[in-house]
Amino acid sequence: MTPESNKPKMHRKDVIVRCAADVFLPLACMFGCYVVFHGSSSPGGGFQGGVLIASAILLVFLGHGGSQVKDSFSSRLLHSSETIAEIMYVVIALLGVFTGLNFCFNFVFAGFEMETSILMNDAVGYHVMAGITCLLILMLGVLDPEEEGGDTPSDGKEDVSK
Amino acid sequence: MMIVNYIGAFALIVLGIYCMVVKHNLIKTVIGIGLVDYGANLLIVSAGFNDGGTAPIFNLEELTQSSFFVDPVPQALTLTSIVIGACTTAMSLCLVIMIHEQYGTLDTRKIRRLNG
Amino acid sequence: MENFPILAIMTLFVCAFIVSLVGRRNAVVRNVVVTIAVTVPLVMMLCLIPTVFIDGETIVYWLGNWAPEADWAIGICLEVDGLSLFFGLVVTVAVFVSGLYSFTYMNHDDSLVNYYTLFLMLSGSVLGLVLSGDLFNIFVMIEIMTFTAVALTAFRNTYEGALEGAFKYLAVGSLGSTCVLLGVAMLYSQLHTLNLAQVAALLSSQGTNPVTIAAFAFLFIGFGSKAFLFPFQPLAADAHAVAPASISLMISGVLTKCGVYGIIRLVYVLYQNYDQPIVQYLVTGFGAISMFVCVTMAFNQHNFKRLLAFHSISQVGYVITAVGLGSILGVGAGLYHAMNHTIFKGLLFLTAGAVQHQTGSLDLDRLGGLGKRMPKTCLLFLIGAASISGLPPFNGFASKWMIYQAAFLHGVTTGNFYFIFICVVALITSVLTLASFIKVAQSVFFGQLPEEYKDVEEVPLTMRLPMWVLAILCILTGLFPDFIQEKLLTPAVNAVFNVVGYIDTAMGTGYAAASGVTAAGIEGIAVTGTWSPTSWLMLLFCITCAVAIVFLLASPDDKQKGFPVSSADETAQPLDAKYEPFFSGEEAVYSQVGGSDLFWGFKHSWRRYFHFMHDWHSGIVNDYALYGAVAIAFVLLFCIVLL
Repeated sequence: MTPESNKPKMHRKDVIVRCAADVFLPLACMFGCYVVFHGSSSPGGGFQGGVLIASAILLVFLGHGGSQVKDSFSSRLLHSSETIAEIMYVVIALLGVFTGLNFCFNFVFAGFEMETSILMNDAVGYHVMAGITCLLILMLGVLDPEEEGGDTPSDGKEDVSK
Repeated sequence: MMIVNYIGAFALIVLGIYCMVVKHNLIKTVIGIGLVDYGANLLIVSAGFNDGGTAPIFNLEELTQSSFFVDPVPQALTLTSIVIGACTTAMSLCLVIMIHEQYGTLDTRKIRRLNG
Repeated sequence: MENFPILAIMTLFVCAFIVSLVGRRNAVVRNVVVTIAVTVPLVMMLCLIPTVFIDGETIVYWLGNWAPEADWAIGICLEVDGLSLFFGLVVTVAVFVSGLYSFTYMNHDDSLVNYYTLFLMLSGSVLGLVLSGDLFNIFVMIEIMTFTAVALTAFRNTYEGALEGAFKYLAVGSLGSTCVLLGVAMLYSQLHTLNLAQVAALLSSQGTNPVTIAAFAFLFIGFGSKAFLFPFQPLAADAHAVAPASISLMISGVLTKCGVYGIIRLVYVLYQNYDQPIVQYLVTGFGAISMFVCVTMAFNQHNFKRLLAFHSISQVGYVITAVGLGSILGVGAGLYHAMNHTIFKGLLFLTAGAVQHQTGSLDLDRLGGLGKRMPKTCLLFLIGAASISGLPPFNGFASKWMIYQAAFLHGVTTGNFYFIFICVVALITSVLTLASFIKVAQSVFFGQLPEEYKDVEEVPLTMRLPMWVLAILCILTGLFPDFIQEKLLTPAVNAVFNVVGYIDTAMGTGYAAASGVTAAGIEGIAVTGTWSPTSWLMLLFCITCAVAIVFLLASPDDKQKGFPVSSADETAQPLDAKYEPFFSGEEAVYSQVGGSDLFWGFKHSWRRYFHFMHDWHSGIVNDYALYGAVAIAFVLLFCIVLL
């Protein structure tokens, strides 16, 4: 990531890179989503898929430069998404408590071929996507001299999706 | 054959500690922290490895008494601990950037306002 | 009721997320959420008291109902026995007080949403650690705890040294965390389980081998680093000095308790090797060195909170020493002192925070005479200072007395002079603590009021209230030690020694017996220390007489004869003309002795030691990492060679 992003101005005018980024962006997102949604029955899962989706932001950065990243992504919305995903995870986990079973109980909805663990997996994916995207935006902000480095020492990285 | 991994893991840890102790540069200290983490991760993964085992992914009907697979728990643990290690690195680099802004140096021997 | 442990942890975490979601817009909503978050776990912990403390049950909670299958613990569990609940109570009380105090204390700062989010995550992780029954969960919680604590240390990142302290804490703290991880990995590789109860059972049935002993060493030093034991104490000092006071309370009152909890779990439940002399030497040795080194380091300090930080580690040293004795009285004394330490050290940090909030300074050389301007804070500080120095009738005295008693009794019953020596070290440390706090009181609250602080006002009631809560707890736990011993310590100590119950509740009845864990044969122990108010009155009287005699003998005519004090009193110096100011002060004109000069005679005669220690705490992160590495190597070799 570092060598390319050291010279963001060069890439911004490069048509080939921009087109390639545009082409691969949906693919990257799609692949990430695939990994997230199949996390319960195959290798991978929320964390890996989330990172894959989040890394798509690098394509945007490579193709369109830092200012475009700043315009297209709302850091605040991502922060909120992260929080919402966390709350989602806990609420799904709490379903067990509300129904007289234990925390994190895995309900199986046979009719829908759905379990709560899949939903929790998705919540983790959502959260990791938002969190890593936030991190990447911060890092890109540090790299790009035009933008302010918004590096507060405090952010919600500490969550560990166990 | 796993003995190589164990030796490698402890070598990484010792290297990391060496890096933290000897190198007077904050970035190198961070690298040292990372190395110690990687050594621990390598140790866990090696501890769960069964020679000749398959990947631990089964449907219920596939799983029989004779199926031989590597231990999945250490892999989950390693994944978690890798994430934690990444967080440590990110956080410490964050602090290093701000320290550099405030102190104007990365030399640990000059960053000692709190002492005694 | 069964769900209370997980709900208490999750309340804190969920509220942390909610705060970060809604708190940005509305400060009132944020404060309400934080208040709920700090109150609910406390209430839940209190609700668990009847089940766990009175009925003596152990609550096991398998997440997702993944109960053990064929005698293998495949799930993650929370296991709340008396010990966990005891620490859970300590933690939740501290969190409650710290949260309430933050509302007013932090009002000069911005980005408070981040502060409260991190604060609640810190609280949740600590609570999760003490209630967890799974080794790897403990590691994860330790890591979350370290991260949030580091971020909060650096929260006021414009303060001088805040980032530096945070970085050192993170770098060397991660060394400690990695030790915990290594220990967990080694245990897993040998036993193929992570459940605490099953680990305890399997270690007992399979016996120890070099790998599990190395795991013991790694876990010990890992938890020790989280309690900031001896070679790690500079981290604590740096972090405390720059963190907000409410976070200092958390670091000293709560984070160190996690280390203490881990060591108790490790020695008493997992390995059950508390009766081996080698382990006792190891644990008490680390405790004793920490308590002595830190209390002497405190003499050198010019920063209020840095001084308190060294005292904090010194008191944790007491706790570890008592715990390492391996006797019932020792564990009881250790737990009692751990609780008291949270209370009085929290109180002291909060008063320091009050001083900082009103004056903006923590420099002992600049402050002075604030007792006139802030009389209530001064009173609260004196209560805390008397408690930490072990003055009767405050709680520090009761627990320290039990520690002396435990150490001495252990030394007598085993005929080992080492433990009596430990007892003497503890006594000397207590004397030095008192001396040090006289210095602080002198330099902050008494003496001359500097011109710049003429208009300082008393802190508002919202800040005094949490302090009063702690002060009243100080007095209550000191006045009714019998009640505390009967209601709180006895169940906790019973839980510590009732390994069979711990294993059987988690793994099914009979599992412990099948794996050869035998009951310690001490069912229904009662922890009692022979402390009574009348005897301390007698003691006080004796001490007053002794002091009076000393003063009489040291009348001006006899100055050349020296100072007739028994050799046990380390603070006494031979009284020749050179050291005169130590005793009598300088000439009347200069009777305003500066705070850091109050004991200059003592410091002068120990100058080599102080210089050495000052250079030793060099402030360079490489040095601290070196100390940590040496400690790891030492403990590893010590355990492998001798155990």
